[in-house]
Amino acid sequence: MSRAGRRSFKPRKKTLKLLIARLSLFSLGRAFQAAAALDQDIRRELAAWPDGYTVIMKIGPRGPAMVLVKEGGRMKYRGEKERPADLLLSFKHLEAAFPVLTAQIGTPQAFAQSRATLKGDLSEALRLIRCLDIVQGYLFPYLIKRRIMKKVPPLTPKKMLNRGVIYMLGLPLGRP
Amino acid sequence: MMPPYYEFFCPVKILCGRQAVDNIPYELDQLQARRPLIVTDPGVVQAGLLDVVIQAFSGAEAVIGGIFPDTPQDSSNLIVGQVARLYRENRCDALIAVGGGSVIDTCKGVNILVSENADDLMDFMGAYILKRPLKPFIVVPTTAGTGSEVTSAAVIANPERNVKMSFVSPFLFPDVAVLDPRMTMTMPPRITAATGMDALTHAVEAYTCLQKNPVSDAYAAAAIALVRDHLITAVTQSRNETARLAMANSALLAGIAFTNSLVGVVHGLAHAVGGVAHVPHGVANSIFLPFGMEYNLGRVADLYAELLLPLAGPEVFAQTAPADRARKAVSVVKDLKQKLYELCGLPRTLKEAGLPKDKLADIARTALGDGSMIMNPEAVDYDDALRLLQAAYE
Repeated sequence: MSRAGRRSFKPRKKTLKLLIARLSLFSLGRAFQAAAALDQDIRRELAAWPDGYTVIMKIGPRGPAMVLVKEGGRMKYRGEKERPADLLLSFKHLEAAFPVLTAQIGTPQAFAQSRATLKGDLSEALRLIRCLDIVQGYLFPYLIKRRIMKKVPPLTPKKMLNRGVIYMLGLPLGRP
Repeated sequence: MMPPYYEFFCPVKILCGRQAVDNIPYELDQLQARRPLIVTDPGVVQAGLLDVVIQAFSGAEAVIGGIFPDTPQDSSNLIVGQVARLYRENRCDALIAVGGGSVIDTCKGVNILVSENADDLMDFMGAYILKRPLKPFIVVPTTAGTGSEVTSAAVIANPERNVKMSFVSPFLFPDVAVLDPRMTMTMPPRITAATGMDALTHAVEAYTCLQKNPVSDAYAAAAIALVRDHLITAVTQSRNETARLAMANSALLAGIAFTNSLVGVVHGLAHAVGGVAHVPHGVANSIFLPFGMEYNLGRVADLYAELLLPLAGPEVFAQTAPADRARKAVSVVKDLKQKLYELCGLPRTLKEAGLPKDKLADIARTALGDGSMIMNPEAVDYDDALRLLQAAYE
């Protein structure tokens, strides 16, 4: 067999990108849990969801995932283990997810560029997107928010406090 | 500006012109279908338009498998279930929608159920859930507005669960869209005006929303030029075949544009006004269009400036200073609204449309839950939506 015939056709694994994406989903999940407990706008939005309501954001058919479940009136981050979801937001593949998860583009642009599919009630998906916007408002500095959000919400003293709690307790410890 | 990435898809075969409906049996044969179920509404039957379609089967190998003539104005899963049962009982193998948006959306829902051998549409709710082609589906629009004959979406109410079910999938595209001037000739002036403004709104929003791309822009601009040249004629001369066909094309082109680029705040508000207060969609779009344009001026003035060319023609475009073109585009739309009001009483404001003022808060809240808001170039929150509604009230 020629050298060309012996060449491997297996695609290289994108280990670093996968790690970053996994870390990003983990951080987003923890931040969402904390923000959902602290932020009154998110609490008001999610009051409509019953206990057991499950939201999953995942990458491709076999990629990492972020599972959020409403338990005892609160949204809880439940890691990557998938389960039947009320809302399933799937990025088509890692390259579709990466710019979104690394805050290079915002959620509206992600949908405008057909990066993800959505299974579930579209009006509830909008509720999720509004909440994700608020979470991003806590996570990212102004320069990034200005790039990815249509309108950067003002950071009130209460929101600054919430941000502190999310960074000190939410992200490292998964609290509140 | 080139978007960093976009997708465009429109697989619908378009038949347009005189006697277009008579080609339906041939198209069924090409789709290997023999027993279509025709779905329509009482208005279409009363106008004699169903007879035009039935006549097309004279001497054809295909046989009409059944007719469902009772589609209501707002489609629901209950109606979809009834039609699906009729389809199965009559052993049909294709669907023909003859009517407006509600009939077409009903058929899309039926197609999901009969193709997936299912009974509950809720299982398929969302975007890109369907995984395989559906049964052959032909659409004969009888209005020149919604563009549903070339869209990949359907919205069907579920009154039992109090949900508006949205479905988006490339498999929802019809196989064939048939534009026959006979099918829109009987539209009264006010409905002609409202549906024409619906088409204009689709095109303007498609040109300015976040998912816009060069291909959808081309369709949108062409649609707007047809509205400019033919809407008034279609309203004032209902038997003018050229004007009717042009407006049907405008709706189709605008439909292709917006199904690929989506829409924005005008549609978000129009959907909400329709849902809460039952203002017809075309009327609502017509009312909100200039207000939505003014709201978005800060973000997309350059795009509205470009749209002045198809909106008003080359002379007006050339004579308008570049810095003034965006505002001129808005005023052209306002002038068109005024003209249509004078010709046929098309409401210019929510008050003229009979909307009670105490509904505005509810409508603003409902509008925020509409997917269209995501693609609007400017962010819209509750206060913004309420301000827009108040501006459009009187």
